[in-house]
This record gives sequence, C-alpha cells and structure tokens, in this order.
Amino acid sequence: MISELLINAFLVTIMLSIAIALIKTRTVIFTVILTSAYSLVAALMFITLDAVDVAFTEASVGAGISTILFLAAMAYLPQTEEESISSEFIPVLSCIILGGILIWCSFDLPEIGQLTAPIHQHVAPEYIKGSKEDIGIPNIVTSVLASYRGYDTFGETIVVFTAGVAVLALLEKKNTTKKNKSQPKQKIRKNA
Amino acid sequence: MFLAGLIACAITGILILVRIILGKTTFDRILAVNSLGTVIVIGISLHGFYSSRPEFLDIAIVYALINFIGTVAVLKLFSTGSLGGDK
Repeated sequence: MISELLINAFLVTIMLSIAIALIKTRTVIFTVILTSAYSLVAALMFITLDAVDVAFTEASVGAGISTILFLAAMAYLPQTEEESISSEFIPVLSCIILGGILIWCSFDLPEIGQLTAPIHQHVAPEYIKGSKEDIGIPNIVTSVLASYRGYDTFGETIVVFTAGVAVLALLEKKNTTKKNKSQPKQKIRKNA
Repeated sequence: MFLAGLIACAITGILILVRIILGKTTFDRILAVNSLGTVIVIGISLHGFYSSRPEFLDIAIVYALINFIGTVAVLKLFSTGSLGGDK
C-alpha cells in the first residue's frame, strides 16, 4: 500500500515537472519531445492503476502515433513559438478554478477497486452473468463494446468516419485550388 | 530485490528528467527521452514482477517498440527535413 503511494507520488512529480518544462519551452520540437515523454509517464500511471488496456492505448497513440503526426506537421511550421502578448492572468485563473473544482469533486469518488461502488452495481453484474449466454463469446469487454453497447460503438464509428471524410474533403479542395504549389523547403535547425 | 531495482529505476529516471529539462542541444533531449523510455520499460517489467503480475511484460514490449519508432521518426525528421511525402 505504502509502496503504491510512493510510486504514484513519484510518477505525479515526474509528470508535473515535464508539464512545467512544457509550459516554459518555446521551441516546437522540444514541445513534441516533451509531450512524448509525458505520454510515456502517463501510460505508466495507468499501469499502476491496473488499467492495462488504457495504458496500451496511451502508449501507442499518445507516445507513438501522435508524436509522429506532430513531427510530420512540424516540418511545415516555424521552429519557435512566439511569445504571447496577451495577459496570462485569466487563463491561469480559470485553470486553477477548474482544477480546484475537479479535485473537490474527486473527494466524493468511491475508492478504487471497491466492490460496492455504483459502477460495479448498476449493469455490470448482468453483463458478466449474461455475456456467455446472450452473445456467446468468452471476452466480456468485447461483448459489452460490440453488443450491449453496440449503438454507442456504431455512433462513435460514424463520428470518426465523418471526421475522416471531412478532412479528406478539405485536403481535396486545397489541392485543386493550389495546383500542388511546391512548399518552401525548411531547414531544421540542428542546435537551439 | 525487485524493490531495489524499482528504486534504482526511479533515481535514474530523475537524473534523465533533469537532462530532458536542462538539455543543451536537441540531440541531448532526444537521447534522454529514449533513455527514459528504456528505464520505463525496465520499470514496467520490475513493477509487474514486484506486484506478481508478470503479464505486464507484454506492455513493456509495446513500450520498447513505440519508443524505437518515436526516436526513429524524430531522427528521420532531422536528417531529411520531413517524414517522407512530397518534399
């Protein structure tokens, strides 16, 4: 128990320091690298919370794919971020208020792994009991995703599909109007 | 024994983190993030055995692969200026 607490405190400290470094840095590639490191540590945090599948997703999407996408987009961007001229007071204030509300709400959450928590009492027992007979497959997660909540999954798929079609439509329009104008080649600075 | 390993991983992680944040050149930071990934792979494996769930090794493998892909992508961007495509 105490070791778990220590591990969590350690990970949160690391994540906090990476986040502070992220705010401070003004070079785009450092930002991408630090985001990747942040995702790695966040995935580690999910593992200590026993959410192994979430950790898988965070590691592959957060640290893997999105880093590569950011880098691919970065080749077309200026190398440094400009200093913001507007006041930072209101964003900081709203962040602090929102964070405070979230922390305050988290006091009402049931303890992690508690069997009497509402989420384990509502429909989960029926799913666990009926999964084998209703759907006929051994994996309960799959039967919840694909059958019990099939309409949810269907809706999500439609949203993702629509987003993909919209992006394709935007890119198509740009290509025909610009006639593939060659992009100015940017040399990445080796040192910063 | 596993606990000692975990503590060693934590200390190494802190040292690497200092290098990530203070790092002078970009390559220092890339190398530091790569090393952090390696330390995290070791940490996941040790944590799995420490909490007697050795199936965490699978995630450690995924981590190692993703760490490799990320580093290769960053370095490719540095050597060619883009990640393939029309440039």
